Amino acid sequence: MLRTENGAFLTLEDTILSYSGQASSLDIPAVQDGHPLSVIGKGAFGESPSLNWVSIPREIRRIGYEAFSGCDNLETVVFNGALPELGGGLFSRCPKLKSISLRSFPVSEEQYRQLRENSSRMTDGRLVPERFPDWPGLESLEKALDVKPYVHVPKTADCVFRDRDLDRDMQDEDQRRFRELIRRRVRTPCIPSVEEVNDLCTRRENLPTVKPVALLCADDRQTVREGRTVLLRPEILIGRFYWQSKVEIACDGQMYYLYQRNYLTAEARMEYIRQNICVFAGETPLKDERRAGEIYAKYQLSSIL
Amino acid sequence: MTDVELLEYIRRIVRDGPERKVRHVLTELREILERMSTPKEQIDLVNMTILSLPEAMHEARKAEGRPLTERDLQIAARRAEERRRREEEMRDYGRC
Repeated sequence: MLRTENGAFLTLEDTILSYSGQASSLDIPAVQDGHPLSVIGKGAFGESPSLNWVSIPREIRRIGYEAFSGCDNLETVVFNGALPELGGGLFSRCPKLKSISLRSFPVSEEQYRQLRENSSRMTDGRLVPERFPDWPGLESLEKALDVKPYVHVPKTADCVFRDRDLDRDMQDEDQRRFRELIRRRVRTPCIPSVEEVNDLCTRRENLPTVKPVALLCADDRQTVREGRTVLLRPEILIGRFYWQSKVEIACDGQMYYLYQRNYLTAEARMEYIRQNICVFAGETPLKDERRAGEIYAKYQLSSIL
Repeated sequence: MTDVELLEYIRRIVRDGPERKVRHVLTELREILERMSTPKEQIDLVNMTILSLPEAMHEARKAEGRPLTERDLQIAARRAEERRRREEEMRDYGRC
């Protein structure tokens, strides 16, 4: 017997067919009567006027067409795992939608690429979703994501220039590809791979605590010298990964853009990570001023970069 | 899945919820049934419901308190057919 039914949810096999509840905050279940759920069906949560906040479990791997369409009061959607396969018109007619959060890695590069391809870049560097024109409240994609693909670096950043090391680490083919990337100014988000994150998770306790080269403040927007490439030490914040690695100083938008680290071979990447990881306890300093102050003091940073 | 179970599914889906949502959900149900290699008659029943949706929703509301039956859906399908015929006539009426 494959049919399960419980309260507001109507499910069949691994699919949530329909939701008819009145909750304003909803944690979508991953299991119903012992059956694992991995699909949210077409229109399943559509036309639910009471929904305001929705959390999608990591087990969900596909969300159907217009699954949350017409939720007049939906403001926040949280993906707890990797981005599932997304159907079209997913959040259409959700005029109050403000935030889409990716709570945890991994977000695969392919999934993020899909997300970005449905967006266009404004001159100020913001990503604006195109696919869903009914998102007037969604200010920008990266602002909504906990995993920030971009950071802003001030003019006076005390960064270590490590082009030479980069050259040493990279194999010829990787170097050529990376230089080509820079030449074209192709901007890609910095998203670690699944294996990389898992590996870091398992080795987290053994990571050396070193002084960070720079802390980046998300609100800093200053002009920078153009055409330079800097390497910053990656940081991992316990409880939430926050990745800072390759940064290119872009000349056009007063922004630094993070690059994927896949221009290195796998061995070189892991070696780089081993040597440069910083571990901070607590929340991200970018969001908590008091905590940031402690961290700056601990590492004797002269200023907030 | 038995016919009774399928009818209960259909009743739950069409009972409440706007037509647009119901149409999506029934389409999803049909795709799942196709994947499950359900008998063609059951898939046809879902198809028939999709094609006569406003009427099927009306019948489901009328059937509140008792199980929805295949006969209810057939009545809905007949009424939907009549509606479509009337609409076609109205369109023809307006033509020169």
